[in-house]
Amino acid sequence: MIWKIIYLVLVFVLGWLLTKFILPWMIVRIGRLLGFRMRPTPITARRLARFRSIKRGYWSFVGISTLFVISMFLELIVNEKPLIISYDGRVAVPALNDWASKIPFLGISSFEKKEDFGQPGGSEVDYHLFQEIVENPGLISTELQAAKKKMDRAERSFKKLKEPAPDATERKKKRFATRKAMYERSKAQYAGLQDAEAVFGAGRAWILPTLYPWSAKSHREDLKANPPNSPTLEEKCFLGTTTGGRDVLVQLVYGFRISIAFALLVAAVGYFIGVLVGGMQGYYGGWIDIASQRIVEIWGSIPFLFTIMILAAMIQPGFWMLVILLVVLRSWLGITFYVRGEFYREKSKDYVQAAIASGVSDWKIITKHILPNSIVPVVTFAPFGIVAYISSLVSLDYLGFGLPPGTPSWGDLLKQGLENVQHHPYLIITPVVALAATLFAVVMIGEAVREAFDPKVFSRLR
Amino acid sequence: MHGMTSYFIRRLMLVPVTFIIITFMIYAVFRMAPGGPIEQARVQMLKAAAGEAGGGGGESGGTGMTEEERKSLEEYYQLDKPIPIGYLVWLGFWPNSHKGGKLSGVFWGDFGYSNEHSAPVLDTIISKFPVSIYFGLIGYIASWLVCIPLGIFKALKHRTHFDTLTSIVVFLGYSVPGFVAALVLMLTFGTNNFGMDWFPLGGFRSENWNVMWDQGEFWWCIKDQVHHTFIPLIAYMMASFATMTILMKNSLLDNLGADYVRTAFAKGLPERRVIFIHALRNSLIPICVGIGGAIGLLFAGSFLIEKTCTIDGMGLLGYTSLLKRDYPVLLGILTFGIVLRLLGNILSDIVLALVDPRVRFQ
Amino acid sequence: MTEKQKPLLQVRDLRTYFNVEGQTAKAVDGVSFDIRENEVFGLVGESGSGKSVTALSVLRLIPNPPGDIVGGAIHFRGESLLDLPWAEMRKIRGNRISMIFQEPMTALNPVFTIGFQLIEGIRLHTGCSKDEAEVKAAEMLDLVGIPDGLRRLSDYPHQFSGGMRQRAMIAMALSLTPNLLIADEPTTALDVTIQSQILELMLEMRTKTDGASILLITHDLAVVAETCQRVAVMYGGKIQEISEVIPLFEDPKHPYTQGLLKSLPRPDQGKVRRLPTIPGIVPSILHMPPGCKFADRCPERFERCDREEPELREIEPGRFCRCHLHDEEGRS
Repeated sequence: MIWKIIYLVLVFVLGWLLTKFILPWMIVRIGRLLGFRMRPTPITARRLARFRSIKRGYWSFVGISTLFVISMFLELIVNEKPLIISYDGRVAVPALNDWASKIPFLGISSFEKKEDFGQPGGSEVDYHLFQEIVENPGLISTELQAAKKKMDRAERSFKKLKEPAPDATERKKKRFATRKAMYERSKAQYAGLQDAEAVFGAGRAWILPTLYPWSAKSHREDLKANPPNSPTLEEKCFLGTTTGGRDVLVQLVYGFRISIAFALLVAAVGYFIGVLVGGMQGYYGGWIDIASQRIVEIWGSIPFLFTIMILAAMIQPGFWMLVILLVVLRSWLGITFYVRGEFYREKSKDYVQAAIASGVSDWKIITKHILPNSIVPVVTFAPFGIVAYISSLVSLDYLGFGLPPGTPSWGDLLKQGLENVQHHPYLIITPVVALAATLFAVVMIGEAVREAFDPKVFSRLR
Repeated sequence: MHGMTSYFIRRLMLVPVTFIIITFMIYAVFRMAPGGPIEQARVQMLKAAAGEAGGGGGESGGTGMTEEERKSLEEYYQLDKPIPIGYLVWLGFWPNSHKGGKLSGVFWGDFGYSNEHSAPVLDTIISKFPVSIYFGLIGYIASWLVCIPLGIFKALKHRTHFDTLTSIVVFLGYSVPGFVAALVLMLTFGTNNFGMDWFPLGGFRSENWNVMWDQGEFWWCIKDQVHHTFIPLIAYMMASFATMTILMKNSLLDNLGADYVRTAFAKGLPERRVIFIHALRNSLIPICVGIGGAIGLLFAGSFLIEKTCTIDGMGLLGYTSLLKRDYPVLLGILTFGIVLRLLGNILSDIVLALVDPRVRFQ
Repeated sequence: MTEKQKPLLQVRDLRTYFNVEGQTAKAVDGVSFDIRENEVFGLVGESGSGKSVTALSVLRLIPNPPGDIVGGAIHFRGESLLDLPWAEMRKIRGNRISMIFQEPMTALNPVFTIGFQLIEGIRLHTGCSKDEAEVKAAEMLDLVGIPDGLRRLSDYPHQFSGGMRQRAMIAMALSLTPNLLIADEPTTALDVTIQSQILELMLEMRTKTDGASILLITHDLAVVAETCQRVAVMYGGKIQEISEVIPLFEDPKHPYTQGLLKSLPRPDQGKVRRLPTIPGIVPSILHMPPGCKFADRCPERFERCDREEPELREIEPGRFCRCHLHDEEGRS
């Protein structure tokens, strides 16, 4: 118990340090490497200072980003697979492997076979069982007895047969072969379990589970009642289970990571395209402007949620496909107007005209002079965009046209909540609280950013 | 005024162009999407044509599509023709060989036939109008009634405790999507979990509403209607509550700082008149322009709220059609949605021209 | 100052401060001057010297927050304006004291017709009927040189050019024959050709109506020379020199005034090589020097200037100057 608390504290402290100091430092470093100045202009510095002075927004920002950074390491915190498992001198780090396997485009796979850890069979180790045996080595003797019975039975039925003559029928030969194999297998299992008994008994097996040893896809089979289970403290199922018997707490935390990552990706890619298009419109003007504005207007007239639902019904999108769909159908649109306006305004200013007149290339003018000014609409937009995209994902999942079934998602929890509104209120309450708290924090950030960039004053005349 | 009329005529002319571009894209996507049911139906149709599919009807292929469904898709999308021709047939500008070579399509009011509802698509969609409009309109009016006064008050009390407190409510409203609010309300006031089972869990009216109405129980009917309206109404209001309030507040704040407000004070006008005549008139402009955007919601309803509260409107129709793969209805609803949005944009322009004398479209 | 007549407007030690992100900006810091009956009084200074804030303070049009009139007194026809209740103050605004603003583009409400905005003020102060007010408004438009006034009443501000809008503003300001007209850079935003027309119009209107006094705020000394009888020069939120116009131009006392005049092109100097300028920039309103506000840029600066702020003294009859060079101790 004590080490779990220490672990929890450590997670938050490390997460906070990473978010507050290490990551910003790295971003600045990388930015310098790429040739950016990475020093705020006086105006930006003042805005940043103003943002910092708005406590609720600033702390929401620190809080959400810390949680998100921590959630990047969720496999090491909430996972069925243990941090370290050791059996008879063989040590493995399944959680870490699992974490590495989730890094996109890397293609690491992780798998620990049962056989290697004193459990008969070739599938993934049953870590919960492993832990139970570690805690109570006596459990294995019952297993051993069962295995012995099985072996005896297999032996008896095998011994009944005689070695078939070479001219015996194919059927007889085959029966002999299978019984023999069965016998050998059960013998090996028994021997394995005997070894296991020795290893467990001698205390040469141990396991270090994660903070909350359940994965997004694992079922709470340890609970006595049938799912959905209401939250219980005794059985360490703090937020209950879904209708499928999965742990709601696990769904919630993994859902947080997916939601935020999804929204960030959609916003980042969408705004990148939006700035590009809007910048082009504003900078070049003329028919490019008119034509592309018409396209933007046409595109914006597509009812995007419905269209995504229809497409999702056809192609069953995964995470990345859904990101692309939302970017293409929605997130690049809104920002174009603002960036266009910003470019338009900046371009007509004297310093840009002077740069143009002195033959500076378009690319340089855009990146050095105009683009920094267009960051303002992007930055003030982003938090509200993120709220919208999280809501979109939740809505799609809620309607059943979002991420593939089985993916941890808040929308799916809400859907189950609607289906069980009469008797399982926690299925609504938990995701709603999580959703509202997260989005509220993001809105607070957005409001603080807006206030920092464009403070509204009420100056009263009488 | 003359320039404006021609502007709107030109604007209206753009609607069909936009409409054709979008619907063509969607039609093409419907037909081309790999693994989509239409693509599968097309493959099966080709197989059938080649005599491979064999005699028996019933289930065919892995999608669970019946021969009947496949046939209707084939007819609806003109799968035997290339995409552009098929689209023209759907639109109604190419003879429909399935209907004796006549022109029949969207342009002639023929959106196809829904097997699911055993009725023409158009009738099916129109039959859902009243319910969606009822909620959309009431929700929109209610949010005007709440948001405008609240926004004004917040602007005048900028940075006071009242402002901060209401801001928290507003931002909470912004962070909770309407359907989630409906869920929470249903949980709290629609079930007995907290001992406050006051409102029904969904539906537009009770099932025996029409019977009661015929019996003359008007009072009961009105009460029942109000009961059913409460939760969805709040959910609908949530959709625009936060944005509209903040828009109103910021708009008024901006205008109160404008030069003309100082001029008005310099004339000796009382504060009340300056705020409520001069500044307010200007700050209502962006609010009014939002009307165009709301018309889409007004008619099309919201999938999420209608699904959550089981209100039998356009949104729920779209949702169930999608679940049942009722493609003619889907394309019909999509078409309606697009037309409404386009008309909404124009309506916004018209409203802007009406409320802002500076705007002259050339 | 000779007490031949009781001044129309008497400003004494006016202090208007603004709160800018927690700091106090002393936009107007102890300004005193008088405007006599039937006089055109000029208030000259660079932008940021506090002249507009002074004018707005007279009408108590200081936005609060962030600004506030923290001290001083303003007497108009013997009445203390700063002590009046708001209702009484409103009876003076637009009626006895009118104001014309710098930006004719934004000073009129874009969504109401010119007529609406004219009539509104007339009816408010006279209580006459709508038709009477309309006749009066049309008459005023004609008077300020907007032909076909009655028809143009139904125009919106955006249908007027900048010059016409400023004319409409003048019509609005003068429609109730005020005793004092405050014109805050009325010509700055206009084309040069229109500028002189508007100035002429203002002076002409003064004779046509009851002969109001004018407080003309400008940064343009040429305008002052043309129109004003007396002038005050402002710098750093304080008045540096007050004088009759002709003596000021002939013999400026304050080094700042001298600098301003030298930087004017003068036809009598023949071929001008290059106009001299005043070196340096106006000190930030948040970081005013403790001594003389002009010390940093002053060619005559000596040790006392940084230490001690000079008083505004009457150095000749009717002539005031805020400079250590002109007090008893002088340079010592």
